[in-house]
Amino acid sequence: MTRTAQLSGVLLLALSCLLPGCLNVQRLKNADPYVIHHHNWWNYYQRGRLYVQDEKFQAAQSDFQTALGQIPGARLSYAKESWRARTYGMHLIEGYFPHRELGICLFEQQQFSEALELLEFSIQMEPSARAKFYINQVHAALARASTPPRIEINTLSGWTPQRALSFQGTVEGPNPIVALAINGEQEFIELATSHRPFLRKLALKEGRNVIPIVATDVADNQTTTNLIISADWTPPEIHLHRAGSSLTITCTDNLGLNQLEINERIEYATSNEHTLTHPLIAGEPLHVTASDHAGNRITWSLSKKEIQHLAQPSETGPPRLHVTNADKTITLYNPEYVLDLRADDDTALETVQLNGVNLLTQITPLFRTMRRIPLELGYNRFELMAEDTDGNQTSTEITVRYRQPEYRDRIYRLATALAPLEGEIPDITFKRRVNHLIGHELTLDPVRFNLLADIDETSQLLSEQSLSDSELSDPRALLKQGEKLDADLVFFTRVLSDGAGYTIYTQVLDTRSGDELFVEDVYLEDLHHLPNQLSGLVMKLEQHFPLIQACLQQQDRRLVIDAGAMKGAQKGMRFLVIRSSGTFEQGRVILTENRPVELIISEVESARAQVIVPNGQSKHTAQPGDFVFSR
Amino acid sequence: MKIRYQFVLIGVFCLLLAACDRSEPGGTLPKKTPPTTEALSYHALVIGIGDYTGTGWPQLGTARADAIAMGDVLRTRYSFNVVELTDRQATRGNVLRSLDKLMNLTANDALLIYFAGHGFYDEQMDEGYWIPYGAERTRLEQPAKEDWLWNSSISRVLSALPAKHVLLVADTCYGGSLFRGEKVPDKSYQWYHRAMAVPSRYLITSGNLEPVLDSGIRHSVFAQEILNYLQYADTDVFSASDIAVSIRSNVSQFTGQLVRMGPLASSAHAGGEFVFVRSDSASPFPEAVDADPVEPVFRSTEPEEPLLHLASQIETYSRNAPESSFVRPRILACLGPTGSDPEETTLIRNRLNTSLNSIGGSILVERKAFDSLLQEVELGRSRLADQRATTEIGKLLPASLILFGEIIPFGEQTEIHLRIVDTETSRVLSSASASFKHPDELDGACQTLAEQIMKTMNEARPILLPAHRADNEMLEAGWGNFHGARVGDSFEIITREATDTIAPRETLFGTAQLHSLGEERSVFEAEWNRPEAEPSAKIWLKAIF
Repeated sequence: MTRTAQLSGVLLLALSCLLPGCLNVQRLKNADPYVIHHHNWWNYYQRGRLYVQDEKFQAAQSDFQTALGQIPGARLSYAKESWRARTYGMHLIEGYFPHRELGICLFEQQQFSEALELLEFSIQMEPSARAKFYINQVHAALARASTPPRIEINTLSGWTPQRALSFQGTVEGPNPIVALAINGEQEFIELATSHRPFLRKLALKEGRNVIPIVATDVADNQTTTNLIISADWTPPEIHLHRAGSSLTITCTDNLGLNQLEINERIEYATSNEHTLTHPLIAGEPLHVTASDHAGNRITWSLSKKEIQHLAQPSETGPPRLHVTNADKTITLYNPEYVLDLRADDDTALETVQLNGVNLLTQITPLFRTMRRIPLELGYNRFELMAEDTDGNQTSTEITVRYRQPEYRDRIYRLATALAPLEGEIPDITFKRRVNHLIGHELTLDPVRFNLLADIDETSQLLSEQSLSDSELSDPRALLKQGEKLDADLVFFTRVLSDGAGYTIYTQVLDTRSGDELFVEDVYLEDLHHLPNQLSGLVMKLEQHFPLIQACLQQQDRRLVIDAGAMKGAQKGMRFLVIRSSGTFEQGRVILTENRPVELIISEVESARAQVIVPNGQSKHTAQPGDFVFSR
Repeated sequence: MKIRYQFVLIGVFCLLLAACDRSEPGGTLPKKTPPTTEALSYHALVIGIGDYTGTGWPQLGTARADAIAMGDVLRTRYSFNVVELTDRQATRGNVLRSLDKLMNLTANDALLIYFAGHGFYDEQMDEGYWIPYGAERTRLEQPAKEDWLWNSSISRVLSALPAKHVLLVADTCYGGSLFRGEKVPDKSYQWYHRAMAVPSRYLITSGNLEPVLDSGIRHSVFAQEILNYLQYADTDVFSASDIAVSIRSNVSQFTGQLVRMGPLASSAHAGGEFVFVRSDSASPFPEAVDADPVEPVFRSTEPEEPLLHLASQIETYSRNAPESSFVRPRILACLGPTGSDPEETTLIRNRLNTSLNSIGGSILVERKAFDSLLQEVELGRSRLADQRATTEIGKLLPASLILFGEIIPFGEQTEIHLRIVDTETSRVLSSASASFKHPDELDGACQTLAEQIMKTMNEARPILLPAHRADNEMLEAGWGNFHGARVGDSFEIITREATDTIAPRETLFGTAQLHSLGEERSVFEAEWNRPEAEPSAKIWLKAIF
């Protein structure tokens, strides 16, 4: 028995025809709205809802109890299903949650313990956002403790060489936690609990990052903890100077130089620039290592020959730049390029520039740096130039193309049609806002669903296609034919006027199989919370479709992928097939007739899943050894 | 092959033929009859039937007055010999008899036939009818076609008429089989002069099944517009197509119908046109007109089939040809945001359009009166299509992207929600929202929205231009004013491999800036990263604005 069935609008309509008036909670004009002409359980349930809307909670309580058979009155024998089916699987009444509604009545009458019991029972039977909302309310009413929540984080404040920080922690307290904001962004919390784990990945800026974590419990007790992270992804730099018969070695770091090691001799830095001297002995190799507090490390080993050269410089020439991939274009699939640069000159380097910015802090004949440079999508050009004190110049450049792997392109994500909002819509503004906000959430990066135009928009698209098809059209601008995407999924969103608030739920249908995949809902009483709640709704929808990467194998003539329920795989999930002679990221999506080849999960185990080739697609398009990635 | 291609390619072929004719005066063009304008005398048969009492057809309030007014203006301003048949006079027999009498005209005559009355169009037979006075609508539960005037019969009469020019003006529907596509050349006095010299059979029709009355005016919209033109034309010489083009937009605006115009599919039509000359004009043509024409004026009268065959060949060639150097423009139709307050909506849309225009890379198109034009699209697919009409209306640009959106007041603030949809795939490429409380925040909100929308659009639909070298420093590519380009627009110079995938391998070779703006092609100043390592593969320009 699924919750989706309870919320089925289609069946609701069918029953509406059979039982005219019974399901309509709207008042009839010129009639006593509370009079019921039949004494079936659903008549009592509907009247109970009407009483709730009118805040007549005692009368509502009686009706819900009658509907549930707790007090005599309703004809219960009518329903031939089991009690459970009648209670939670009735397929008949949209939003049929008798225990929840009874619990809300008791809450409003300040019978908190009984209310909590009923609401929790309701959630146990079938979760609903409205029940969670009222459990939070009950907890708030019951909260007595004034002790604020405790925040524990698994990451200590300190240094990191990473650009992003993943950390997790827990918030605990005597009262359930109702709000958690990390770095200013609110977590979506539907049900307040006393123990709330969290996991967050945040982009850092280089330098000191103060990340506030604010937890609030249902009694409005608040705790703030600041996680302070010093991010440093730039390794130290090394400058070598010849000073008579010795060598001066200067190491600098942008944020926090830690230590230097020269031929196993270690010195700790006390500032971000540290200089030491070392005897210059021809024939003795030199190993210099510098590291900073974040763990970035640079090592420079000079061979005997180089030491010889340093001790007895030959004739002067232009500076030399040593860098891999000089004068080449390289492609990367991650957003960072590590530039490992060494520059030297027979006399001294006056300047070493990266895209016009001087890297040198002092004149030096030998310079070594390693930089981790963030990349923009597309082409990134790095121009390097070195000039010595005699004015000789050398330059080179590297072009780095940062691109996403092909299979990450949003065109391959499931095409999704969003049906207009239906149900008990309070006003047109509400409808328009809900439609736009859901559409907006679905198109935010990273895009999980490939949203298609809605019905009204489609008529306009067809007008443009008609124009393009006609002789009125400028032939230079004709539209392409046959490019329209078919919807893989349809989202039906309905709103249900629930007491003082609204339940908004979205039903996801697979257009190929016609199966209803699942339903998610949110509940709100304050319309200012609409954007946040709809963001949560879309987040819940997206959680059902994790992006899974796996390998395709053959086992007993069956195709399986090495990802199962533990990675979020579910029956009916669709995958792209990717073939690569190199890394997964370099792979190409296999297409047939300009459409991606698909595999669909037919059975799921914990660590693997069986996949099948959909009807109409050649069985030989996917081969063991290929990769797969969620559509 | 679709009809639209046929027309377009027929047009192309006609131009090619015309171009050939320039170098080979003999060419395939027929007749080179000397101008004989001095000898032309003008005649008109005007028919107006408003009284359909007892026939099952509704009465028509303006038809009789339309015909009488038409006769008056032709007689007084253009010295036509006018025969009028109104209401009771316009029986089927009388009309046919009047047409028969016109067989006495000669090659020095020009004849205008005006008909205002009910019409009927039988789609199955592709046949149009005029309904004469007294003709019943149905008989024995069948359309009483035996009482009606068949367009095919009228066409035969018109073909057989010895008059040099025949212009049929019908304030009613007319059969599509009478039409044939044709391109309109640029006109000059020389053009009119030669148009008069070559026989023509021409039709202007309102496209309605009956005259459409404009409220408060005693003539139908179509008739009133023609009368206005004939009364107040600001030139002494003009042609039937000048009238049709001029009245077309007004008629469309008031009635939602498109005026159709074009030559009749008659062997008597040799490519000339019906030219009106004001009777009070002293010397309508400058003397230079008598000089030999330097440009061909008329299109070929070759039968359609060979043209269609050739057009098909051209189309096949263009499909199979390697990548064309022509780049389709990125056309954005702004259909949103919409709102309940018209003043606020107009203000927001104007600001938003300004912001979108300032970013560039797309052409913004209007969609006013779009629906009424599209009503004609279905007809346009049939042979009713009138190439001249579409040319004159100005070819419309189908939008490859549409901006939708809504303005929603919420509490003290106003929310603007926008989204851009790809017309070809129906994907929502991007959506953006912004809100403002005070009007002075509007500009900032619109600019942010426009930037957000265009950024996503550029990722989803980048501008990629195949380019070739004009010289060492310069590249040329098919991107110009027509595409919304501007001087200074920046591009990357790249080569592309694996173009059959959605993520071709690209290599950067430099940057280019639009230097010299052309209509469809422009010249770009290239800055090569490494001049010594220029690409040997095909070069592309990728927009980075």
